[in-house]
Amino acid sequence: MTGLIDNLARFLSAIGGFTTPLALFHMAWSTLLGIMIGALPGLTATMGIALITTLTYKLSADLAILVLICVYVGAIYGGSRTAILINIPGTPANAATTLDGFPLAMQGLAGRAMGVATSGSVLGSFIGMFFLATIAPLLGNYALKFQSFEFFWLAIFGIVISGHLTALEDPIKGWIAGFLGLLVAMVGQEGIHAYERFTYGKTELLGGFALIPAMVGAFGFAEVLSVMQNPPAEKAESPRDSIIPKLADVLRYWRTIIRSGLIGTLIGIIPGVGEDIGAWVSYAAARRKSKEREKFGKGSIEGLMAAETGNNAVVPGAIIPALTLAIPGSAPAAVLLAAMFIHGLRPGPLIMVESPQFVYQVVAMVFFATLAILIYGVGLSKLLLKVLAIPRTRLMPVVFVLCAIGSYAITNRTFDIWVMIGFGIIGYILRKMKYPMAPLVLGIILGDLMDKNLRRGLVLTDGDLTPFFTRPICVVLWLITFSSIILSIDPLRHLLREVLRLVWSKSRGPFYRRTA
Amino acid sequence: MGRKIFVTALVMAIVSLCWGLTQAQEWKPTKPIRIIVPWGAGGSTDQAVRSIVADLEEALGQKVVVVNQPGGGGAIGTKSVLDAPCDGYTWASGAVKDLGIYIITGTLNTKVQDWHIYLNSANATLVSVNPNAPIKDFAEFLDLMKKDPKKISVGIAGIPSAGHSAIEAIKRANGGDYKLVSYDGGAPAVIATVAGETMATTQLLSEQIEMIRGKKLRPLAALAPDDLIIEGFGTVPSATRWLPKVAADPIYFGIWIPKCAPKEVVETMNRVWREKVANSKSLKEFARLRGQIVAPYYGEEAFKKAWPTIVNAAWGLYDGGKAKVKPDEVGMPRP
Amino acid sequence: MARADFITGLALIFLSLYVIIESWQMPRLEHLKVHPLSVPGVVPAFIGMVLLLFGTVLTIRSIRRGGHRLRLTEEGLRRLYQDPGNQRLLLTAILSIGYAGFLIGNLPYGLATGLFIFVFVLLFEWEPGMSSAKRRRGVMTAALIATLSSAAITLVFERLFLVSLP
Repeated sequence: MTGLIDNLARFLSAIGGFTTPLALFHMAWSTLLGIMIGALPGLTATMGIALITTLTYKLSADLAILVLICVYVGAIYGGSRTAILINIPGTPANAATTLDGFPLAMQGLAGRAMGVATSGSVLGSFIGMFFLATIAPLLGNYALKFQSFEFFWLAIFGIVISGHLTALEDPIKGWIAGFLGLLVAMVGQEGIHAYERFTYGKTELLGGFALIPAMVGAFGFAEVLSVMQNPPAEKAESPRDSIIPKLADVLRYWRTIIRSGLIGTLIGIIPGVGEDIGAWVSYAAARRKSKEREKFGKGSIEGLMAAETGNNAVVPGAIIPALTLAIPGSAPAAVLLAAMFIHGLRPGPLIMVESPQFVYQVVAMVFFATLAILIYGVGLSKLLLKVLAIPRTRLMPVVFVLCAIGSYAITNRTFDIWVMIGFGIIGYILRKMKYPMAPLVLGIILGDLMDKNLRRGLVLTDGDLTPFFTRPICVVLWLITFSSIILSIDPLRHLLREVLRLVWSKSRGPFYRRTA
Repeated sequence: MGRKIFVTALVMAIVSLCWGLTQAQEWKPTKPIRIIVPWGAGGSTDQAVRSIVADLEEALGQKVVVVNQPGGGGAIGTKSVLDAPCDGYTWASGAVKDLGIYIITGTLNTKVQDWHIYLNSANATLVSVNPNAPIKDFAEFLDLMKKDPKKISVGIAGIPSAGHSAIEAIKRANGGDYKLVSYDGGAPAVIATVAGETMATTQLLSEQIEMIRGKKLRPLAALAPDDLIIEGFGTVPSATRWLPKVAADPIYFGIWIPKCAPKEVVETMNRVWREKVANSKSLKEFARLRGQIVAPYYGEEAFKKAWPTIVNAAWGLYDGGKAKVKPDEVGMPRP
Repeated sequence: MARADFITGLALIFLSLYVIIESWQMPRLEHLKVHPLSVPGVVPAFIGMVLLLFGTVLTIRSIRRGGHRLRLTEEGLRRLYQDPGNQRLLLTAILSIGYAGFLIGNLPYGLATGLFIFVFVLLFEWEPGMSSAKRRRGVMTAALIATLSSAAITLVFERLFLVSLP
């Protein structure tokens, strides 16, 4: 009990430490910059933090980390704006947001959708922050439970659920898209023996297709092409709703919010998987438990809430192992951790002993960043809604220019612009044939994870497959994966039902008679 | 030590002589300079480069932007520096050992001699095991390598990597074998050993140091000429106690400028390195926290430091069957 | 959709067969004594097999729905080409690829971007029967949008995000 009070006191004193005009000024600009980075397709949280690290060397350590955390939280939130308004996820974390966010905008509810995304993001951050503040060291050790076997299943699991959820009428197309994404990820030098797969001697392809240009192409350029092809009349209705986040939405879906927050935090802790998976798993869980399942994918407030709560809860979740074990839980958290080192801070197993105050400072930073996105979320929405009023003939060329420069910005290679164009054309064609883009992008993210962890696991066990099926977390993951596949294929489901009925009647019929 | 001072003095004398003869002007960059880090943001190369950026900006009076271009074991980022205009505004970076062996792995046709190298820090590799591993000391580790190599799973950051060169050097000196397990980077390899997935790791000290301080890893030996003192832990014995002939050079990190860059760029950078980086407070502090050695070398001296590590790494690759070119064909005789 | 599925199904089968063959031919690295299950071809082959399965399912399903009767006629192709939506699509694709693939890098970035936006807006807002006043206004608007957005994007990326523009 005294421990709790001590921690509360530390938290409050950390909050007090950041209420200076200077700190508030830094919070204000950095969160806004983060939202901008998130909203521009191509610029991601990881790139934003890496960039700002360079710009904040001269600041004192706590202000620099404050700025970086504000950029991180802001970027993951900012991506939802683009996802809702123009159906292009600003960062990979917001792919699930497009599923319900954009349909809502098309129904003239863009304001409400942005409000829902804001409240989801804020609450998700707060839930993650609560765990960061209370049981960080305990949760940190959970990161070590994920080893090669678990990562393999996590990758398959991610593809299967996202493939299923994005193509509900015809899941096979979602899975095809997902496996095509995995295949794309095979291009380039593989991570174990450094052999070059499918590179045809090109040095540009050694590193494979970069994720961001591929994503920007498949979502951005493909969207530009489809929008321009549609007849001119089709345009989002002018919004006719309030932009203020509604308390009623929050109260109505409180279970979804808490569940998504928990899922997001736990996914955040797992090293190497980040906001994107957090959003997908929260979304899937919300749909499974929902009373209005049929609305998912057509403009469900609950689905949007789940996706946005899930991805923002990952942020504090990913910081937990970074602080307590020096293991980053996500790619942006890895850069954040490096920045902490550069500023002479020493996160790691000893942090709770050596400088517990720092943990609470980080909690306070997340707290302020979250407040800042709430303020900007309410304040900027009216302005952002004007995007919907711009005629497509003027908006789309600018969107395409942003796609091109966004693909180029991260690594400064013109090759990546061609990758964007290529994925845009392929993405457009696949889209016309009702293949969803999100599993494709997720496949590119997860392909590497699956490849290395499967082969590494096989090396570790000398070819024995049993640990893949018997380790506790593996069991949970493969059970969900296979049941999701079987239950969504009609003939298989009927077969299963028949078999069960047969077993059932057999066990009742003759068996009973015999014993009687 | 005396020799080092002599060499430094000589180099400085030559440099200042050249300075006087050519009367080169000071280089005043007019636009931001890009340093390409050919590895991901947050890794050990990235950290080593970023630790001196503030000093470089101050000395040059211009923004210095770090761009991460990971992939191909560093080849992709380095290639893009070679492709960029050679005007002194685009620099490469990384571990000098990697720069020297692209030609051996056949990924990139460049040699270390094609670059001006500016080293800033050095980092030792360490053999550490999971605290519960049934091995008492390095002698038992070496023994097990000979007796039951299947039991020794070693987590490293892939091929090429500092960890791979280290365990290959030990294997060459000791004999026996081990089970190689590759991870996506130094940090994940270290974490896998902490989690107990692999028994040991031979990655860089900077990647292990927090785990060692937190008693989640048990260091057995350091691949350094002398015993290594880790602040907040104690002393780690040098591997040369058991294997006198093992290649025990640290891994040098730094930035590289192509040889074709304008002369005034090189001269200004030499001066910056001598005056600014050698006395950098932030570099010293960073090195202290991350268990690194400050190594502000440039020119001939840097090359002398780097060359043996490159040759060793090259032959390590060749012996492991990972080389496309035999090292002595490109001027690296077997040590 | 059944016809499209038939074609994609076949394409998937070919792609996956190619991937499987290619994976089979990847080196086994026997001389390195690496574990046979850790060789580079394992995972691509696995993905290839899963895609082969999906491709086969898709093809069979589409044949059942009559998708293998492609009924390609000249008439149909002409209608496809004359559809105004498809013409807009083609124009967008040409302009975008021309800009991103060729203009960028050969012209100063700001100029290339301004030019692209100007031409795009102008072409798509042009209507045959426009009065000359309307035309003039159209040109002015396009030029204004092009200059402003090109300048803003150049400035933000160059000064704020420190990207060295192509």
